[in-house]
Amino acid sequence: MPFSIRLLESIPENPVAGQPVLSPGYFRTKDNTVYYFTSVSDKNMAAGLGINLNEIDKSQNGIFSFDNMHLQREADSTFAEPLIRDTLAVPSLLKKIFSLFTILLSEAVISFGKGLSGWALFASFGLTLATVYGFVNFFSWRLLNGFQVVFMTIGILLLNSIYYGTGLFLGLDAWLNGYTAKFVSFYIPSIAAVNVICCVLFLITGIISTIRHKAWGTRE
Amino acid sequence: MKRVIQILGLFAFLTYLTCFIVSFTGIQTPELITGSNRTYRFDYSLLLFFNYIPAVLCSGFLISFAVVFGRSREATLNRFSNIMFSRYRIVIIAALIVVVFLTSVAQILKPLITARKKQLERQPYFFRDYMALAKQSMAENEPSLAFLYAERATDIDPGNEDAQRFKRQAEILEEAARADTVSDVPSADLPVVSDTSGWSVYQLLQESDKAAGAGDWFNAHYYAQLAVNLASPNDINLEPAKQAAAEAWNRLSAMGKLGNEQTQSFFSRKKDAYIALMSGNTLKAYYIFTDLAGSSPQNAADPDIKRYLALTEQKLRTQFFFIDETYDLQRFENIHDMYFCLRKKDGSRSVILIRGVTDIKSEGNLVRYLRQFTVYSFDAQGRFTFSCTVPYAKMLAEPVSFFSADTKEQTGLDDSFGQIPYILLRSVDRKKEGETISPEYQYAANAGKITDDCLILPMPYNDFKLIADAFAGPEQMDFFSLFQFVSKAARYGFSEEVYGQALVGRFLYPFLLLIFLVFLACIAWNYRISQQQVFKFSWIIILPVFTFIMFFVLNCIEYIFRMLNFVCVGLIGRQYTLTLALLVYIFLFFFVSSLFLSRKN
Repeated sequence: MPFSIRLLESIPENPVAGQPVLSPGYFRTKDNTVYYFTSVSDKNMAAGLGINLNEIDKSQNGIFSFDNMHLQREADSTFAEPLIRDTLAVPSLLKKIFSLFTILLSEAVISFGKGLSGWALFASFGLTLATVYGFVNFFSWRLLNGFQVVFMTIGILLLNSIYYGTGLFLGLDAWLNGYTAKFVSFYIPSIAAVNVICCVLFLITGIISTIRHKAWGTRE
Repeated sequence: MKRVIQILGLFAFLTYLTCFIVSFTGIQTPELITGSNRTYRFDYSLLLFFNYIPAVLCSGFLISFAVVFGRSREATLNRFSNIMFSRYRIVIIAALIVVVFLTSVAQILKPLITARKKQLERQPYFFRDYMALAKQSMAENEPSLAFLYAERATDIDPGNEDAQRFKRQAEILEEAARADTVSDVPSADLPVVSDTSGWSVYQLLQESDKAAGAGDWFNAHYYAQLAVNLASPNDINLEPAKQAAAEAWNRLSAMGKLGNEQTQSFFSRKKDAYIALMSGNTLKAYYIFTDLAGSSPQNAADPDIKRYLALTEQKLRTQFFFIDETYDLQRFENIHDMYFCLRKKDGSRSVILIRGVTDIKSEGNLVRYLRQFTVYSFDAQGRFTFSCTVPYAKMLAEPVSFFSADTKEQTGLDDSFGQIPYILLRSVDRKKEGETISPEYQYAANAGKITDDCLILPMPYNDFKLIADAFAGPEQMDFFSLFQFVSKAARYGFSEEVYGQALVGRFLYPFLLLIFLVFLACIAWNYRISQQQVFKFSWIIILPVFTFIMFFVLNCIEYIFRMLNFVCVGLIGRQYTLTLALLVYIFLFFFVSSLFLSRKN
């Protein structure tokens, strides 16, 4: 089942008076412009210079100085300090994987608003995840089984994220709902059907491999 | 142990084979010079291999030990048994081999191959530019320059027949031009000394006497004047030096009245140039000497002209540079948009921006041309004081000992700097007097005016290269440059924490790998293959899945430890972070080791 994390306290968007947002004496890059603050007052007024790195501005030297720039925390950034933001940027692979969870999380909120049937259809992938456990006896080598379980879990999450994040399943959705409209009054996402089918297959595979394992002592 | 090495070797081999096949069949190479296609693909395959090899070897480590432990016949009935200690020894040896290999890959091989691949990608552009310049120089009837550019082009692409042919043509024309010049101008006398270091007043006086004996009154005056300048007020040679200078000067004055009008005019101009040189107006002296030398082959062959033109040019190059030196440099720039700040002891600071840097490698990398060089200065309170901008500046390396104590004090030079960047801001035309490109200064309303044509940067010359390297990012810098730069980062306006965490992370990478591998050995024990189980070929198909999951796990671990390193560096400083992190890693190492040793059947 998806879970969500809520921040107990959000970072104040406006800097607190008496606490400079950024310290002077460092180069920081934002929107292809490098800023260097020579001084930052308690009221977050900064003096210094900016270096524009855009190609067009290079011919005009692209440097400008300022002595009264009001510093504000970036509203859309987790980091107040661009230096930290650049250093602690999440690697691209992890970012992609985390984005899958973001898709599922936002879909969970939408599905919850659709009522019980909507939520149950969305949560169908939880059922599939539970049946992945059936693969613990699939191979005779437990290490392979462990990796199999991890890999299939990732595969199910990925499949559901692709469904909700892209329009790849629209054709399948149309075909399925054209067929089920005669029986049910609500919209059935095709991924729910895929989840249920996978769930049944995994369950059967799990039962067979467990019986084989117990009956013959071999795990395949 | 043998089986572990075999499996790891097989994993690495299969991975490289895949990378090799992908690189030689599945990629489109960019434009390359003749014959470097294979090298490029080979480098590409290596970089691909280096990217995945940590995950491959870690998964190989896990699988191989799961097989080795499964095949082991000795039963392990108790925790911390002797048999587990002997297995632990094998685990550690294998882990160390993997760690050494992966660390070498990450710290040495990967940066080297990345740099070589980039170089291969840039070569066609350089080749084209050099050939274009060579052809342009040939069209402008400058065969020596054409030969120089063609030679550089053939150095890049020796197999290019057109370039070789063009080089031979340029060489023939250059030799012919040189032969003409040699026949016109007789051999020159040795140039006079320009620097009195290593000379005594007495020696200079002897040189003056020698020149006077030969009737060479310019030289006689020159050496005598040098002796006067060098002598202290109490030096007993001061008076004879003054007399020798006066005698030579009188002779020169008398010589100006000899001969016909043309000879007198020539001598008068030569003397004007000499006076300008001796009074410190090097630029005026240079243009008069150049004008005289260019007026006729006889004048050009005049020993005084040759000697003092060489001396003047030598002096001029310490104050100015020629505009034509910067032609076509932009296309050979190796650093773009470089910036840093310099702080003085009084709290004032300067921010320096350079849009492009071209290193002249033929001069041992000691000369750099800086395009769109700009300095912004601020006082201790952070208020703007002045700025200076120039289209091109030339950077030389000068020893700190070259400067007086006053200059050192004013500019903040420290004797420990060794060599410092000395920047020439004004460029002049080689032939036309008055054509000059000077720096543009802007001042704050109440600031004092500065109009210097030279600038001293109070920093070691080698730090310039370090800052340039830092622009590639802390992860791309080579380890030794990063190590040197971290302690200086804040001084130049860069975050010590950012570079510090990268250094700590790279330093601790082998330890992290070692701990992770021992932990994998624990998993391998728990999930070992059963003793009777035959290893099935079909399992090999599942193995790439291992690598994918391991790749993800390694990414996560590296990211988590990067964050931890950053927090530690920020809170307790770089040196203490290293100590603290080492203690934590030692603790983790003992923990995973105990975890492994406490395994039993």
